[in-house]
Amino acid sequence: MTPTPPTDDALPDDPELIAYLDGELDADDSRTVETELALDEAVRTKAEEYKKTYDLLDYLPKPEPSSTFTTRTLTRLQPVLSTSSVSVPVVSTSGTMPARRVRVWPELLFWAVALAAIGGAGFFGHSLAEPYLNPPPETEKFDQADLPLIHDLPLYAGVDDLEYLVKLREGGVFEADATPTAAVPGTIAAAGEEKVSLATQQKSIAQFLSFPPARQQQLRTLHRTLNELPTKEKSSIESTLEAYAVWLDRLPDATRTEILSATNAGERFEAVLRVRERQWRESLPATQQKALKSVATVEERTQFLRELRQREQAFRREWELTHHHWQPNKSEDQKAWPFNTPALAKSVDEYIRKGFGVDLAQPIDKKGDSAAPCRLSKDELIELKYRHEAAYKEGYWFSYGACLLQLAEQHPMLPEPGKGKPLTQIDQPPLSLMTVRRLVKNDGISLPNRFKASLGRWPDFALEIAKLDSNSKEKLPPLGPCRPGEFQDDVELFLKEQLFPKLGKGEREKLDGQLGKWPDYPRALIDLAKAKNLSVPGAMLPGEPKRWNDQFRMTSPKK
Amino acid sequence: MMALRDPDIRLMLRVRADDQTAFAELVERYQHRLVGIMGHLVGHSTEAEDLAQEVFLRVYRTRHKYTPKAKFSTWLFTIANNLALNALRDKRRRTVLPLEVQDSNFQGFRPGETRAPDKSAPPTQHLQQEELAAVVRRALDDLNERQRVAVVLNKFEDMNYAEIADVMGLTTKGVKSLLSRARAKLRDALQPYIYMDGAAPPDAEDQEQGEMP
Repeated sequence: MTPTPPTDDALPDDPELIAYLDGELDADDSRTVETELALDEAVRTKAEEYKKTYDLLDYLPKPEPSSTFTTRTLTRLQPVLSTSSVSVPVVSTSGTMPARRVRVWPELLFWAVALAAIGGAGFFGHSLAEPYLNPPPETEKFDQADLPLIHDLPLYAGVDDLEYLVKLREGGVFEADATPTAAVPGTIAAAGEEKVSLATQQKSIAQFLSFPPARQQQLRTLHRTLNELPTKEKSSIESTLEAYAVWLDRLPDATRTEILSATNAGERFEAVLRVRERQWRESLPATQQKALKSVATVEERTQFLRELRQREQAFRREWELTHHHWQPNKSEDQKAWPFNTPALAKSVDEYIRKGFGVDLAQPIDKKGDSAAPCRLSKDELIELKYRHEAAYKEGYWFSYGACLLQLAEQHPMLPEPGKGKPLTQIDQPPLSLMTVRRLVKNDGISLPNRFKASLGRWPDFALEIAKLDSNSKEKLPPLGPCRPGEFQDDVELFLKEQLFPKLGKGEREKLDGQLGKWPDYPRALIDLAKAKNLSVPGAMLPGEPKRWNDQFRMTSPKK
Repeated sequence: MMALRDPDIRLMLRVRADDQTAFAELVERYQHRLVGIMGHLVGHSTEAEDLAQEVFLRVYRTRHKYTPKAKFSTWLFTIANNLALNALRDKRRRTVLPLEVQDSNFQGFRPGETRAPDKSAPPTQHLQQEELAAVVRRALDDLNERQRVAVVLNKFEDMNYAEIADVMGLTTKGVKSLLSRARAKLRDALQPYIYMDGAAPPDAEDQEQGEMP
């Protein structure tokens, strides 16, 4: 009548039965459970219930990361990055470190100015420790007009004038420290309004008043000239200024003094370069440090360091590019190439359909063996669908392009024949069941199983047969088009009008050497097309191959 | 060796060598799985994202200590397991008292017993999907933390017992008994709902034989 009473008898657990359902038992133990299942209906009911209740878990909604997840994670990484790249202990306030370029530095950096003051170095020399030893000086003496300058005071430690900042920027000294996220428009404006605590402000005022009049005047000029700059220029200089200030803030005291005690901007600049160079060398990985030590002459050493630097710069550029592309771009005109050209975007979809055997409109078959022969694995298919959706819905064009490029490389395509169907079946001429049987060693596996992965798929199946053929005495006729005249019309036209006219004599001879051989001839065609930055219709991703590479390849230049 | 055949291990080796692009790629690649797992464990999407993010940051912080021994995902999920267990324990400590008061429909019921009223009066109509999801959520929440982790890895990550054992630092035998207890509890809690998702019970015809023409 009623289903099994759900309460007490359910609680003794059944490790063997459940392990059996999970496919975790060996053959012997499985047989034991299967016997029980066959003999006892109660066990069968129980097994069914275990299975069904587990299936109910599928009703749980699957949380998906929000579209900004990667960006937010990478942004949170910035403090980690900058602390780990410098071997100096970081200020205890690291927890409050803003990840973006925002104007909350003043509080954080206050101590840097204070320390410099106590240390009595450079232009802070006169101040001694006055603000700390005595009650704050009468701040009423100070001019309210200086308040904005005082707000930014901690940023100006170790800065003489605007020219000094321009020099730092032009020299690219702090290029690496400026975070790519800082380039996101809007962050500065949005963050400009936060309050500085009264105590901090008092300290800053005291600090400012403790400077000699000449330095006070110098700071006023610096603040004024900086703020008079055109917005774009100003924000560019500010980014250098902030990177510099944070860097200075984190230096060990002795090193900081080395910079602050310089008597003029020129010397200070030299000191900054010196310290940066030292830090950079110290931060090199052990293997490179070792390599550097083994270099004998000064020239070789300089050369070695220069090359390292160049590689690092190239890598940084790529990182910035990647990061830039990773930002979602929703607006139509900011779609990445090739998706921003309707015709090209359509050809890409066509390539996905024919080259990968994927219909993006179809839901993914959960069982993994759909009727249409898809050349991608289930994981790849899911990845592709997800990237496609993320690109068209959220603007993640970069990851979509990178995904396509990777898939196209993992599943290279070859041009289809102009006449007849491409070879994808065992009994399709020039093959026959007999020929294929002769090619395959008799290992007890049925032919459909033997070719399960490639059957029905072009050019996978033909390639597999060609490989078997090359190891046998069979010597089959070519399994695909391998001379002009045998390809589809678009490829023929492409060869005649685009590729062949561009080939040199040597290249043409080499190509003709492969005439009549499959897959050698079409492969040679594709290689030549790549070399000429052309795309063979239907056999390569549409659009210039070089552009695909430049835009979507994710390997770093250090190899 | 196996290490280099696993593309994720190659990727992680690049992360170890301070390749930031590789790290970004890693985040892109694993975010869905991690957020999904964390979401199933804590049942709250914002919390799940925070936890997943914490996992990635920990990966980054400990990147220099990484040695390619097992599958990369095993290593990643080990970190996720530690963080999730801590978070779940914290959560339980924080919420155990209010839960007793709020969740009991009847005076004197302890949290584990709140399912009883549902079971004694199984719904007669098909449950709405959300309602069913809520019931399943509650059943999952009633498992202890380790059982929940094991179930989620097994069910949603398709991990076998040996992989779960690696991630959770247990023996395969330990996982077997953990999962069997968890499954028994789930069956106990969800058994009345099996046929509420629209599927007819196999013995429905037997039961209604007399009334059918």
